[in-house]
Amino acid sequence: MISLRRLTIKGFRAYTEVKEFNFDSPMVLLFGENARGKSSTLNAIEWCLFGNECMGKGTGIRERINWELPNRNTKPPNVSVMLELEDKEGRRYVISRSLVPHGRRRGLEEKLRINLPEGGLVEGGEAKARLQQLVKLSFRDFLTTVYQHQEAIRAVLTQEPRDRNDAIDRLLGLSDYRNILTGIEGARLEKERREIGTSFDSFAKEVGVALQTRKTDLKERAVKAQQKGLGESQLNQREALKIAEGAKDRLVEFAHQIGLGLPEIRVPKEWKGLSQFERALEREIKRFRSEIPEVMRQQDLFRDRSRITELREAYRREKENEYHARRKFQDFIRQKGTGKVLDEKIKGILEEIGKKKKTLEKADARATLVRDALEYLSSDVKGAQDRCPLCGNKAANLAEHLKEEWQERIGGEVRKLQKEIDNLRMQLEELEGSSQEYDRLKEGLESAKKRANEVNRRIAKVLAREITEKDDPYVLLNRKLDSIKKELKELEDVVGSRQDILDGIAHLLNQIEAVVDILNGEEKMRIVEEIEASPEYSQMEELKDEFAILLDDIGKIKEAVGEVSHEEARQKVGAAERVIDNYFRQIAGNPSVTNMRFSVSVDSRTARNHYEFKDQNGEDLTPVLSQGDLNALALSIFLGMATSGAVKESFGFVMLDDPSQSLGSGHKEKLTEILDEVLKDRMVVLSSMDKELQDLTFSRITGAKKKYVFSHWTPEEGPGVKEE
Amino acid sequence: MKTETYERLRRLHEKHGSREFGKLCQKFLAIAFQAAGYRHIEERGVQGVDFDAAKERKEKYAVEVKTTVANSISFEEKDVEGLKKRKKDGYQPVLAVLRLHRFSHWILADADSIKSGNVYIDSLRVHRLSELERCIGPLFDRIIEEHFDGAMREAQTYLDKVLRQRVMR
Repeated sequence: MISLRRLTIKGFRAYTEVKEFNFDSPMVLLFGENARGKSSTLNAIEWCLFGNECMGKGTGIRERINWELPNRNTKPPNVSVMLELEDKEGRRYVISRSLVPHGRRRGLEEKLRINLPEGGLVEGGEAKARLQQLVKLSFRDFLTTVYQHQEAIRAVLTQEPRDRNDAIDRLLGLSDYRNILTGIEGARLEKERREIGTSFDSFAKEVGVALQTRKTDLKERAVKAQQKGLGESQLNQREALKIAEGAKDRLVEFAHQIGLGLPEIRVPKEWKGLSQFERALEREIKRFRSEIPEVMRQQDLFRDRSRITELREAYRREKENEYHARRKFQDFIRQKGTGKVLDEKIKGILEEIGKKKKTLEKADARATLVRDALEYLSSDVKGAQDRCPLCGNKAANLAEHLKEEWQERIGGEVRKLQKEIDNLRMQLEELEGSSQEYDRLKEGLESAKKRANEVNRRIAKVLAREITEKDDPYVLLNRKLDSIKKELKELEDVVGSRQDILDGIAHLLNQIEAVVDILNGEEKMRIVEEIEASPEYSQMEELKDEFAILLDDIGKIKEAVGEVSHEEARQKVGAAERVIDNYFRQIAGNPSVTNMRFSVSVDSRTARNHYEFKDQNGEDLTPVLSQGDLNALALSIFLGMATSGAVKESFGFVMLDDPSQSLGSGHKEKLTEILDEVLKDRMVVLSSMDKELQDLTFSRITGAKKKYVFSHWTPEEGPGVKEE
Repeated sequence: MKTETYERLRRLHEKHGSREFGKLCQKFLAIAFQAAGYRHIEERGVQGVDFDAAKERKEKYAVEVKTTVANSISFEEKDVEGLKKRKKDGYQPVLAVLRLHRFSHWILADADSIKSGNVYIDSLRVHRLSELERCIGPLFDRIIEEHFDGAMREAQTYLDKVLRQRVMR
């Protein structure tokens, strides 16, 4: 068992400055009013031993949620707790746990160090392992068997039966068994198995739906096959192969009939090759459809017919063009004469224009003379008005006379000539236009003739005969078209019968396709059958078997652990029952409880330990106890366990935090008597604000005592502690 | 169990209902045991273990048959007691369970350590008599194929006839 020797605290919760406590008496009393730092002292011990484990929701203590370790008035935060412990061989361990600022964000890092009795220092993980070896208890066990935390112990009595059983298991040191059972249950293997089962069921359901769909599909395919002329008895591989054989024979015979070659195509031995066979035959049928000789002749004739029809149209068109060109030409000649006539007319007009021009030139010479004379006579030359400008003779009114002659004779003649010339030129222009028109019409006619001749030449070529003027190509072409039509009619019947044969073979291929479709669908359905025969399915079955064995084994382990746990619980409860009963009756002094039975049984549903507190009549006690009695019972269990030897503790001390809550004077008196008994076996650290309990402790407890008085508390200095 | 077997069983279940279906399966299974060479079949329609099947002195089974569409069966105390009695007579107690479900098959489990109560079928895998299952499973498929039409028509009457005829042979 390990004992407390010394505690040094700095910067932890209520503490700012360094404070030291010596545990060198069997009884150490931490006395003071509320909020003076007593609980922080006990908390410092548990934190030094268990670190973060004693914080947070997992502790089951409400106040530990968001628990703040560093003292808010210590800047920067610097938490340090040092605990000196001594084992039964008298070796001393100094455990130091601290929180120091760390990293850029100045977070706090926890550090653990242990000064070993043999000398040397261990840190970090090594220190943690060494501490676990020394302490042996889990934090939860510490909380219920060493540190009597009011809330934790009360939970033993007031929580749900399941939690209470859990708490008492821990109290009795049966946590390992319970943890194993909790671990097994937490693995939820049975649930896993059921989920696997459900998942497989879903798969099987899906397969069922898929099969149903395929069945419906198969029925539809069978209907289609029947529509293609197949009987129900033909919807199998044997019949499909038979049809394939027939199709092939008919195609071979057909090829022979029309004199075409056919590559070797074999009927497969199994239906799976039928699709390929079907494709090969389809290819050949397609080829035959276009290569049948009569079909090829048909193609030639269609081509000829089209060419002749087109030629006939061209002939008709060119003939018509020629007719129109000739008619226009002849009409022109009739109206305007031939080219020769027009040429002669043009020649005559040209000569006439020449003559007129000469006359005009003469008339024009005299006119020039008269005009010059008139200009002279009307000039400012002295004496010019009445004198001839040529001979110089005087002539009265010469200018008047000349002006008159100009107006009446010379000017009129010139204008008349000019007009006549203009008329002749217009006639000439018209004749020249006609002459050009004549040439154009003549040329058009020639061109039409030429095109008609070209068509004739093509007709001659198509008809393979000479076309003379005595022939009517149009009729010849019609006759040729009639002969093509006749031949086409004859071919149509032959080709029709040939295509019918090929259609018949194609129909057989359709039937094969329908049967193959059905066989395919049936094969897909067979795959489902094969699932069960597959190695994967066997493997899954083996895994299911193995899983069942695993679950069975785990079930047996669970049963065995439950049995061992129950047996140990039974022994411990048996050992502590009387002590707890005595303590409870002493502290509570409840006259209605003459005997308190603490018993354990096995919960038939969970196979776990089930604890009960009953009175002498076998009635459940907890529902009828007062707050004070419940506290008394909680203390009785805690102290009973600590002193009865039911739990093999590694700690040689117990810590009680405010144990006299709701206890009356009588209760407290009895409590101190019991504490006196506890002191025979281990040290007691008692934290209280209860003056009455303090007095009783000093007056009734026989062991040596030490008191630390927590007189005041200030934010700067923390608790004011004085040793008395 | 073959898909065809499942489909046939499903149709039998549909036609005759759960109770009669259970009886039919019991008889089908007894016939499968017969086919496997267990010449001595004692089938009980009403009380006691469903049937005994014996081949030689050492191969003697007392079979309690359970059929269900769910994933668990109710193994009652009277079933446990019945099997215990047969064990005293030298019969190996067998709990034969068939879940009417695709991919399901007979589980023939050594019933010695099976406790009464609601038993999850998959948990019986631990107790499987694998060799016996391998022997009976395919025969069951065959028997169903062979006698399906008769069972559809005449139900138990037909299968009783088959059992009797096979005994005579």
